[in-house]
Amino acid sequence: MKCIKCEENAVISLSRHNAGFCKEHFTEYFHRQVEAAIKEYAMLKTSDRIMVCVSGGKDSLVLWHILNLMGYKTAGMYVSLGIGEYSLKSKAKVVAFAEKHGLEAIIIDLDEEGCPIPLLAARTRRNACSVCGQVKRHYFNKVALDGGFTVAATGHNLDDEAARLFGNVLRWDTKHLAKMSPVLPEEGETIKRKVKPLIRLPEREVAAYAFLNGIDYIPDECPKSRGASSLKYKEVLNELEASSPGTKHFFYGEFFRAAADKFPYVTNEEDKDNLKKCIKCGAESYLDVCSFCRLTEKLNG
Amino acid sequence: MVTVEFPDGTVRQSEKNRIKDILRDIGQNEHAVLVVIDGCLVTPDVCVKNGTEIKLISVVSGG
Repeated sequence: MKCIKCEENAVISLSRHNAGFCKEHFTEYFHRQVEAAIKEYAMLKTSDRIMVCVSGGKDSLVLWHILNLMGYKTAGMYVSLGIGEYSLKSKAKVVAFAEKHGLEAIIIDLDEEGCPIPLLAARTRRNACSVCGQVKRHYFNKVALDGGFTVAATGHNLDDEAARLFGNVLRWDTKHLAKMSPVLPEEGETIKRKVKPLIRLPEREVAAYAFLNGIDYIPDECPKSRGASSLKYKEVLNELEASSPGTKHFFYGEFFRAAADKFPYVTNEEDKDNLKKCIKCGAESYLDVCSFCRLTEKLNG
Repeated sequence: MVTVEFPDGTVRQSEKNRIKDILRDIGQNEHAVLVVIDGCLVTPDVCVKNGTEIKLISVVSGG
């Protein structure tokens, strides 16, 4: 297969476009897709100070790389989850990436904070992924506020979002269907605008971009995510994509044209007068003690 | 015979010679992996010679 823009051998095929690209033109195409997503959803302004939430995986490091190339003001924010070798290796990837590109990495270490995910999950008898999400949200909000960031960017790609949409539709989870937009507005003082600039790109293309551009990432899965339903949904969607190229783009993209208005995003703006500061950590909360502090209290109980 | 190395280090053999057919032969969805030969990405239409060693990179992440 030849590149559709030149006569070089293609290094990747995009079956939904019935096309292939060489390294140079694939990189150009990839950048255009990110720019198009940012523009279509008015995700970012040049004046924004962007906190890129990084995990050491391909998606977040590729996102950080591209936003930096585009000239945005960025810093990486990494939460070391305290999951043994996996956390050590992923942290090393983030630190090495930041050093190589002369970028700022903000590291939160849950072992040092006294609340590693495996311990929290065991003490609360909750699923590790659920606890992890809650803890990461707390630190994302805290670091964004303390660091003067205006927006938080995450590396969710088309496969992530199509799988999430698939799961939400299977359960008719209207609360989460209302949060499918790749841009979520800021709320109160603590919660900053959240954006997902990679949503036009399948994860195979994100991985190819990382490989071709020498971005060194941790390929391992989080050991706590084994058996996660989202991985099963991705497998199903990849089966459909193989027989019907373009399915994932169509499924995700058409949701916003055909159905998203049936599930309007509800902010807590009406309740904002009831917002107070957590008496333990100072984060905004509707209760005297925020959900994060109530969670970590269980470590002392 | 073509040798395929999976992301976890396990190895399988295939008698096919087109990447697309090799992936199908070993039960691998082409949307879930990248295929690398001699450090370069290759597309599913590429045909390879007997004795070629292929490395697969998993692209699926998240939980």
